[in-house]
Amino acid sequence: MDGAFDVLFRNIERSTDPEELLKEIIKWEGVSSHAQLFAFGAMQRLRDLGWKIPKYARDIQNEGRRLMVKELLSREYSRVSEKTLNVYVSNFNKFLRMDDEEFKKLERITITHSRGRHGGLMALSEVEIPVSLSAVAQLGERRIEMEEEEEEEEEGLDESGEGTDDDVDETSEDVVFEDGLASDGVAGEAADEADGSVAPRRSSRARAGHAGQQESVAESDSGSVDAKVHSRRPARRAVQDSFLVERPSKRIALDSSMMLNDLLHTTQWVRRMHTHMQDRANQCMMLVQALATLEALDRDPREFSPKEQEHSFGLLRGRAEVLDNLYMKGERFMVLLVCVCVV
Amino acid sequence: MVNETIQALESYRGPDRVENVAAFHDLLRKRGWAVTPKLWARAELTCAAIVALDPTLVYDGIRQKDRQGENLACRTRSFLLTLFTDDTVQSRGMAFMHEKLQAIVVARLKRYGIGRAAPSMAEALSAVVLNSNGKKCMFE
Repeated sequence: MDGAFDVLFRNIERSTDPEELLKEIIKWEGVSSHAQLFAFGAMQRLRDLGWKIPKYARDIQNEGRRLMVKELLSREYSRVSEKTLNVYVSNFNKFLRMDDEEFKKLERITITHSRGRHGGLMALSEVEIPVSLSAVAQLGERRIEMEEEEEEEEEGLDESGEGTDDDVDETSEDVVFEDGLASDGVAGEAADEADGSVAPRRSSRARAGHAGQQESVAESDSGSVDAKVHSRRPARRAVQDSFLVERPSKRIALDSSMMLNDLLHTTQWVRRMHTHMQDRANQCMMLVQALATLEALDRDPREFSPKEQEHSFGLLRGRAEVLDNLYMKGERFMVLLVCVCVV
Repeated sequence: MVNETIQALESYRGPDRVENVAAFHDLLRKRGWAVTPKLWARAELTCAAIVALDPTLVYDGIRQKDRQGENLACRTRSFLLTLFTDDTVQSRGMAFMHEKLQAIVVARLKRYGIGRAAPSMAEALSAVVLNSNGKKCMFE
């Protein structure tokens, strides 16, 4: 006897209704087990039918398709924003427009589950690594680079003697004004936020500013420099604040052992989070698969083949083990489905 | 527990044929609750059990009367002494069922004509997962 999965897969292969196929893809995408075949099958069928989503919203003739995908996605992920839905649609389209060769090489279809960002079934957002921490290594590098520069600046100051007002002013204006982007801190910050790659540009700008600074000071008279400098000092602070997510209140000397410690700590943390995320992801996958199977069975009642049944019982055992570990070893659970009718 | 569940599922014969829903409606009206006929196929029950065992569900603790404990107390004539003790109550956990599973449950009830008991029943229906027989201290 054919099992429920065989029948379902055959139905997908025969289907000519794009809406049904889209629903199947949305249900099964992101699943990492053998059940991903359904998503692949439905996507392949859509590709065979030549069904594509218009790339641009201006394509009025085919706009209905885009709206249909968005509608189906929003039913599944009711809490996500319009912007996220557009990203999902775009991801969807990527798989529809892909070359056949590229499509065959795919390991998994991920439309809403990419990078762990999603608003629906996968509740991984709780364990998602914060951006500030995932980029901790890069941030550390940037901070080190900046602090080295500042150390150099300070050393320069110390060497030049007393750190007079003029000296401080000369060093303090080098960051902001070289390319004339900003005459105040807010504009400078906005400009830096706009370009996206803040820290590397800052350091190059700082170097460039350092080179051009003496010339500009030499050209202008000291009075005008002082006036500029006093207005520029807060600007530099504002720009610095915008560069650094976490800035230690007191500067500390960096040595290799400290960096190694930092790195070790970060690695351990990421590894621990990865294990946790993997566990959560597995549970979510199981949930997605069970729900999708249940929906399929609800529409087309079938019984499992012996092999499918064995697989499902294995999942059930796995779930119970997770619960057992989650609460207490040896705990006895009995889970009932109860419907409460309020008339 | 899982082994027992799997044994029960293996011997499960499948959904009942429901010919007279009126009896169910009567019970629902008179008592406010009724046990439904068997509505599910074995494969469906397996999937529903997997969904219901979702470890991310958040359970609320419920202290419920324990009839066995009460009977025991009555038999030993020390009912008053044990009225307010833990022997007469049980702890249970209750969590909202996954909304998609709930939607499937509602659809199935309607398919069996049970959803017609009240026009707004589908909207008013909500489903929960009960966790019973847990250790008492777990939810206290």
